[in-house]
Amino acid sequence: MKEKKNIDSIFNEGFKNLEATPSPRVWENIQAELKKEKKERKVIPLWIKLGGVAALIALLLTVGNSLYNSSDVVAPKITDENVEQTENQLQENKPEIEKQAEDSQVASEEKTNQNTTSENLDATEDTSSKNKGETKSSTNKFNNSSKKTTNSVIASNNSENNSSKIKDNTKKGGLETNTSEKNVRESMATTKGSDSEKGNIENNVNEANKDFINKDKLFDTKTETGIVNENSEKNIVKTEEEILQESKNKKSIFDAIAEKDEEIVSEKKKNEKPEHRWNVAPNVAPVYYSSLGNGSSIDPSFADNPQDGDVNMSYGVQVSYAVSKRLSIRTGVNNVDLGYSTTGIEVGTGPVAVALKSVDYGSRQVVVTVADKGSFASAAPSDDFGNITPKSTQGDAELIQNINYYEVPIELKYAVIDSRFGVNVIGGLSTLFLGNNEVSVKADNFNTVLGDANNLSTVSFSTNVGLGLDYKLSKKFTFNIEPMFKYQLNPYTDSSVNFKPYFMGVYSGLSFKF
Amino acid sequence: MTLDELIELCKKQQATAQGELYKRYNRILFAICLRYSPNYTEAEDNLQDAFITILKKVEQYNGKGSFEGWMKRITVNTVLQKYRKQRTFEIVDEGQIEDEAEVEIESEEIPLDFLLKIVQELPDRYRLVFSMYVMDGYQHKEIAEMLGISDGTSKSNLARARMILKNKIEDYNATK
Repeated sequence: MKEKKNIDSIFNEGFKNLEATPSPRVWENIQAELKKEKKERKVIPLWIKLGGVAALIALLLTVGNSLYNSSDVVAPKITDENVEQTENQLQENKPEIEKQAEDSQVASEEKTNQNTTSENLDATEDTSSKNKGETKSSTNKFNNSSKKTTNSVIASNNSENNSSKIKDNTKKGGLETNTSEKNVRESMATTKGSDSEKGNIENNVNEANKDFINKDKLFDTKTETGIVNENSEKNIVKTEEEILQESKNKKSIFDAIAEKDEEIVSEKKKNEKPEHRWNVAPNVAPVYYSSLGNGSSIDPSFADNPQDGDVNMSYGVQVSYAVSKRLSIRTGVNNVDLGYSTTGIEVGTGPVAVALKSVDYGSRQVVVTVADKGSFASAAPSDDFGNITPKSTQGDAELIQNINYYEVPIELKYAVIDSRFGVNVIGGLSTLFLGNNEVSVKADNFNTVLGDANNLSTVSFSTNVGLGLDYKLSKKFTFNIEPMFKYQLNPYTDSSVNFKPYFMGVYSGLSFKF
Repeated sequence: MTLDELIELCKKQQATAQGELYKRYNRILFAICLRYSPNYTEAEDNLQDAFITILKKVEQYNGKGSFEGWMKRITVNTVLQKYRKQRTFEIVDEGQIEDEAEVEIESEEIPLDFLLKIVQELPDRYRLVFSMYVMDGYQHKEIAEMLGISDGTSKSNLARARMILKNKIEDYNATK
C-alpha cells in the first residue's frame, strides 16, 4: 500500500523519538577533559597569584623605592653642582675683588674723605673671605650668601672707583654700600644661626627665606649703585657688564632658594623614612586548629561527634621591608603542623570497600576503619558494616588527623603605635603547600596509622589577620609577639565538606633590622 | 535525585552528579548530534564537545525554560559552530528554487538508519538548515541569523535539501 506523504513529516516522525547510545569512549573523553581543565584551573590561579605577589614586591621595591628616595638622590647632585659653580665663580671673582679692593684702598688713602667707605670695604672683604671659608667647609646650603657678599664687594669697589670722578655720587654709593654691608652682616648672622641649628632646619626655613629676601634687597641696592655709576661716563661699559653679571647671579639665587626649599623638603622626608628598611624575624608559635563549620573532613557521619583541635607548633622565618616608617610588607616561610581529633568512635577491621572513603589506604585490602560508636554492633550482616570485625579498645578511641603545611605568607603590617613599645595591625594572605598528612587512630592499648587523607588540596590559601605587639630592645633588635587568626579558604578538594578550618597562633620571635 | 538537585550539584562541579546527568541525557543529545553531523564518529566528537560545554556553562542556567531544552540548544550551537564555517558546495544559483515547495513522496516503511544516512550525506549547510527547520522547529529568520546567511539562502538551502532527500528516497524505493 502506497500513500503520498510530505517529506518533512517522514523525517519528523522518524526522528522524533530517536535516541542513540554513543560509545563509552565519549564519556571517558569528557571525564579526561574535565580533569585536565580542573588541573589547569588549579595551576593557573596559583601562577597568577604568585605572579601577582612577585609583581607587587617588585613594584614596591622599584617604584616605591625610587618614589621615596628620588628627592634624596637628585637634590644633593644639584646642590653639589651649584657649590662647584659658586666656588668657581668665587675664585674667578677673587682676583678682581682683590684688585679692586687694593684700588679702593689706594683711592681711600688718596682721598681721606673716603675713609668710611674704605673701612666698610675692608669689613666687606673680611666677611667675604670668612664666607668663602664657610662655603668651602662644605656648608652647601648658604654658599650663595658668600657670592652675594662678593658681589656687594664688587659693587662697593665700583662705587669707590667711580668716586674718584664724581665725589657726590661716590658718597652716595658709599652710603649704600654701608647699607649693603649691614644687610650682608645681618644675613650672615642669621645664616650662621641656621647653620648651627642644622637639626631645626624646619624652624629656620622662614628665617632663611627672609635672608634671601634681604639679599635680594641687597642686589636692588647694588643695581642702584650700578645705575649711579652709569652716570659716570668712564665706567659705562664695565658697569653694564656688572649689571649683566648681577642679573646672572640673581638667577642663581632664585635657583638657590628653590634648591634650599627642595633640600628642606627632602630633609623632612628623610626624617619620615625608616633608618633600616629590612628586617628578618625568626618566629615560633603554638597553633590551635579548629573549624567554624560543624562538619567533619574525614566522614560526614562524624559531623555530630565531639571534635577537638590540637595544639601544635609552627616555626619559620619572616623577612619584612619597611615601605614607610609605619607600613611594612613581609613574607617568609613557616612550617605549620595542625591536628585535630574526633572522639565518640569505634575501631574495626574490614575490607577496604567499606572503610573510610577519604582515606587513601594504598593497596591494602583489609584495613582498619572507624565508625560512629555503636554502628558495628547494630549493623546487620548484610550491611556494609556487617563485614567489619570490631576491635576492642580500652579507653576512648580517638581519630586523629595531622596535617603539615609549608606556609608562605604575604602580609602588610601597619604600626598604630610606634614608640619603644609598638602596636601593629597585620593583614594578609598565605599560600599553604601541603606537606605530610596522615589519619591515625589512637586508644589506650592501640595506635595505628590508617593512611593519608585523599581530600586535601595540595595548594590552598588562608586569609590572615592579627595584632602585633613589639618591644624595641635596642636600635636593631625587637621582640615581637603576634596573635594571628588564619582562616583557610580552600583546604579540601571536595567543597561539599562542611569543615571550615582555621588556625590561631601566637607568634613570638626576635627581629633584627638591617 | 530530582533534576533540580542534580543541576545544583553539577553547578558545584561534583563528579558523580556530572556522571548522572550524562547518563540521563546522553542518548537524546547524541540523536541531535547524529542528525547534524556528517557521520557517526563526528557525531560522537560533537556530543563530547557539547557535553563539556554544558558542564562548564551549567552555572549560567538560570532555571528559566526546561533544562533539557537548554542542553539541546547548547548541543545544536556547538555543532553549528563547527560546520557553519565550512564552505558548502554551492551548486547553482540558490535563489531560483521555490521556497515552500511541498515535496511529497510515496511513503513506504523506510528504515530509520537509511533516513539518517541520507541526512548525514547532505552538504553541511543543507544538513544544518534541514535539521533545524524540519526537526527542531527553528524559523528561517533564526536559522539565517545563527548561520550568518540570508533568509533567502536558508529557504533555498532547505528546498534543495528536500529535493536531494526526495530523490534518494525514491531511488531507495525503486531498488526495493
